[in-house]
Amino acid sequence: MVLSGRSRIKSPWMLHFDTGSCNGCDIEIWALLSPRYDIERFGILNKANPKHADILLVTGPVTRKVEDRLRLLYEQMPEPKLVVAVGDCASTGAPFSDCYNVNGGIGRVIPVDVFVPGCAARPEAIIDGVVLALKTWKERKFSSKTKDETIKEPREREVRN
Amino acid sequence: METAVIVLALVAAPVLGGLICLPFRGGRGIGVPVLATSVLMIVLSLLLLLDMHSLGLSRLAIDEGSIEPTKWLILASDFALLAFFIVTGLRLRNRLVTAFGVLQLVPLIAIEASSFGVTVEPALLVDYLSVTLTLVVSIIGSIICIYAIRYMQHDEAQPRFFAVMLIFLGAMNGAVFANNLLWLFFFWEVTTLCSYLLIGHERTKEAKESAVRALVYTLGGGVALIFGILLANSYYNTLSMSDLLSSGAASGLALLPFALMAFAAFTKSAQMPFQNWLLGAMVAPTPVSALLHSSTMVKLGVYLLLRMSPAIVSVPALAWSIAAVGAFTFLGTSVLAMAESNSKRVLAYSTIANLGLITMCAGIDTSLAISAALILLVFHAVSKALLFMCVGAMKGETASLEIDDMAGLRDRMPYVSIAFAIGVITIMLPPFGMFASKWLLSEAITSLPILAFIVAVGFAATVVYYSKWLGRVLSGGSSVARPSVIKDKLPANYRYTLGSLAVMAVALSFLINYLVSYLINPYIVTVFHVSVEGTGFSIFSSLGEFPIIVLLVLVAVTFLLIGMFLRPKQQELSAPYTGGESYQFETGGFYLLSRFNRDRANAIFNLTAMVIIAILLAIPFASEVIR
Amino acid sequence: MSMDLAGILVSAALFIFAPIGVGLIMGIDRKVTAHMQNRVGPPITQAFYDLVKLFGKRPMLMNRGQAVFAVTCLMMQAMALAVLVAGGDLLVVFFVSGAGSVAFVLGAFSARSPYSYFGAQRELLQILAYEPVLLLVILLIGYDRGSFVVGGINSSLLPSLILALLALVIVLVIKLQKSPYDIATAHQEIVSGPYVEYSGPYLAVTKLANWFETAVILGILTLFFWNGNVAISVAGKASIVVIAIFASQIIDNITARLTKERMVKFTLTAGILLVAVNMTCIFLVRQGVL
Repeated sequence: MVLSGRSRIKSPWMLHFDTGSCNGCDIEIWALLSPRYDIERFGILNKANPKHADILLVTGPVTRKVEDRLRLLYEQMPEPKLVVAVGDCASTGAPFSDCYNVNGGIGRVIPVDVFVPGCAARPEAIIDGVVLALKTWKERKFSSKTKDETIKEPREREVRN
Repeated sequence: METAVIVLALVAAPVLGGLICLPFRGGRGIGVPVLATSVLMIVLSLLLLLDMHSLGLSRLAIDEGSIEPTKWLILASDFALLAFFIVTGLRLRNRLVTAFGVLQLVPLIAIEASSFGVTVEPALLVDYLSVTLTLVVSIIGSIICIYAIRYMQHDEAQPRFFAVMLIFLGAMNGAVFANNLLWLFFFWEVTTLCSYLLIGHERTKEAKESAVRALVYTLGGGVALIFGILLANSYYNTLSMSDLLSSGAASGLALLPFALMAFAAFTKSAQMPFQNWLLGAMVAPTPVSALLHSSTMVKLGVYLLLRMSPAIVSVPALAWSIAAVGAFTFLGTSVLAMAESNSKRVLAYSTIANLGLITMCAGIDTSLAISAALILLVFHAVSKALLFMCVGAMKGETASLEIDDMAGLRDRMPYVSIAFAIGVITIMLPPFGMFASKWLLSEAITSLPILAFIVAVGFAATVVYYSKWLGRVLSGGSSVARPSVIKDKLPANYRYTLGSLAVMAVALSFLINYLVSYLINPYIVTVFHVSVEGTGFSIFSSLGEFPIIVLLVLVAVTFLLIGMFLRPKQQELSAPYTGGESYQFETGGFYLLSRFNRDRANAIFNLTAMVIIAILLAIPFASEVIR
Repeated sequence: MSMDLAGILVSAALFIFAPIGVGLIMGIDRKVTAHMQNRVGPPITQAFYDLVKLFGKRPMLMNRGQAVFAVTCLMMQAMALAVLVAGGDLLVVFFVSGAGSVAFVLGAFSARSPYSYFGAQRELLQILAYEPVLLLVILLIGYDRGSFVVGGINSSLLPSLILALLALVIVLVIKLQKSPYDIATAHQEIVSGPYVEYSGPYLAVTKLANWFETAVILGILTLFFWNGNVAISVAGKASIVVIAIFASQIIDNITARLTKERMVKFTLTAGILLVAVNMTCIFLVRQGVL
């Protein structure tokens, strides 16, 4: 439906989750909500509840403790949903990628749509990432069986000793 | 059947049935006489209604002459009863009980001495108010007795229990039919006796204390009642209720009988500040709470007020004090109920609140107000009995009466949860039961605005404490495999009794127009000479109109459709949101007032109620001085 | 309620227009708030985008009871609005709308989730705070006019009910979930409160129910102005609604959230006092004293 497709893009509600970051990227995300960057003009609202959210903005390199919680939150989001990994830690885990307590990036836990690099990622880059993610919805045809289509498998996770 | 015979049977049959129950040792087979008596009562009361209608009677008088030996029987029993109270007081070394017993005996002797040999005509008077009450007592009381067969099956003293329950039903019927004021007093005191025996049934220390407290309060009311009758005899020269009402209240000290009878009604209906006995009476077994302390006995007090109301309509001060007591009780008990965590205490407070509303309507005393009072009376009896019975059934599963322990009962006891939901919804929400009455009530209030302020806050408080509780019971986890209502392992007895009351509650809401036109309107017409019209589709009154049936049908259809077509599939179910955590959190209840504030609020409400009652009793004297 | 064809058409039009109007009002609300906060804000039709988007998401529930109560709430609020626009009895509107609010609370309770539970309790406290005031305002209207039927109100309720209007603004602040009394859906405290376990189409249903509820209270606000000339009447009613919403927005932007106890105490005290003073004044005017 044209109307629902357009509405989906015009009203993406975000859920922000921190999986062990230094809060640098988190501060940049919250800066988006301030009057200077004002993402509410895109219809984006900061909902703390995964059941209300469309876009999951994740920061941090996913420590082992928080891994299950991240997965649970991702599962509690109804389809169609997007995941945007914000920052270098979320993308690859750098500079913590070799640490024993860290999973090395969100891509190892849940499927990701857009990676936004930077340490900390600049607000403009984050907005760019969100718009890029929404663009994938623009080109896609949604059917009534969205729940089956969009469940993607995460990348294989390396076993560490 | 001759209508008079039906009336007499309604009083005598349960007494006989109760006496028949006594020899059943160990309770084996006691279900048979109880069930038989119950069915008989239901049939008789319905027959009475049909008879009154088909004969076109608005009232039926039964003279004393036609039931000759009854007068001496009642007289002897009356003295025996008061002697029993005095002896009980001496045995328990309770000075108040003894004193009240003596204070009742003396006026009784005085009245009998002065009017010995005078026949009070008619002895029994049946009009539609009595028919309404007897329908409530006979039908709902019988269903509760049937429920009690299963509930009390492990009790040791079942014969005594059922005997007193059934005798009580007979006494209630006698009280609402009695036109002779002394007979009314006798049946009134029999209900006091039954209440005392039933509250103390379990013979624990707490039960005995509560029983004595209830006895003290209700005997105090009985003192007021007999003194009121004595003064009525001396001022109005009659012992007949109908003569007393038709002569109307004079002014000055001749108002005192009415004030005293109102006081007696307040103690019987546990209005503030007399509510403690009813709260303590909740230690009794659940059928007792359902029968005596919500559906029937406490309604005797408001019955007296409703009976008296045509006479005091010419004395606004008296009527408005009665309304003030009622409204204030409603507010006080609704606020205090929000702070309670014991389910039976919440129900007790709720009962007292509803009786406060009925009292207020009796005080406002317009045709709409009295109709509202009667609708409230009927609906409350049905719904409250249902709620108490559900609480009893739930206690079997959770072994606790605390509301917080009832969380998630929707998954374990679906049948009872649905019955419970129906009970709560019909009490507090439109468009069911209480709707029409709340509406009529609010309209009648515009004749006396100050009460509206008190009542508005009370309504909101009612919604709060019922929703809290219903929400607790209905909270369920996420599971596709939920037990269905059909396969619930509830005992058959509970299914039928709970189900019949639930169906009755819903059916009465749909059929409220018929209720009004066939049961309530005839009484209103005889008293006020105007009728509360009810067509099939709406109820009109002087202040507004609305389509009840349309609303009811829409809501019913909605519930049915959604319930039928919505079945959560496995993919749809989700865990609760707890920030990503995956363990189950338990939440505590929310009781608005801290213990300190609750006690303080209680004290303030009691004090204010005492002041209002003091004013009520002072009005005859003030009126005498002014005259 | 005897109505001719023209009346039925007008009522139907109002019934359809009301939630659309409320959606636009919510969009304008966000826009004006944004400008007050020195930013741009979403487009005016944002509320409709939100609603349509929600219908397109996968339905997710904890149990069936939630959905039943959500739809019941929507039905009741819609019925209340229908009775109001058809010129029916104000008390019926009040009771049915109140039933809808209770149904919503029960839906929130029926999910065994801590945030939902606390949100439902807070929602009950909100009901305890605003419902008596709303009922008293309606009773005052009945007292003043002698009848509760909306169709019979053919003169402005202002200026004789000016204090009642102020009491209604307090009720509006709570109903629109604005500071200082956005207790039930306090984002920072209990996430979304009673809405937390609803998602997708069911959340859309609760939102729509909220719109109808807002439409009902705004509808009661429009009763405060009336004029024989239809154009002036519409303009006057619209301006009352705009002024009330704008007042609630200003209050929203200059206050922080207060505690729930404070909400109950303040609303009940202020609301009852305003209505009581108003009623006393009307009574005294009738007696010829004032």
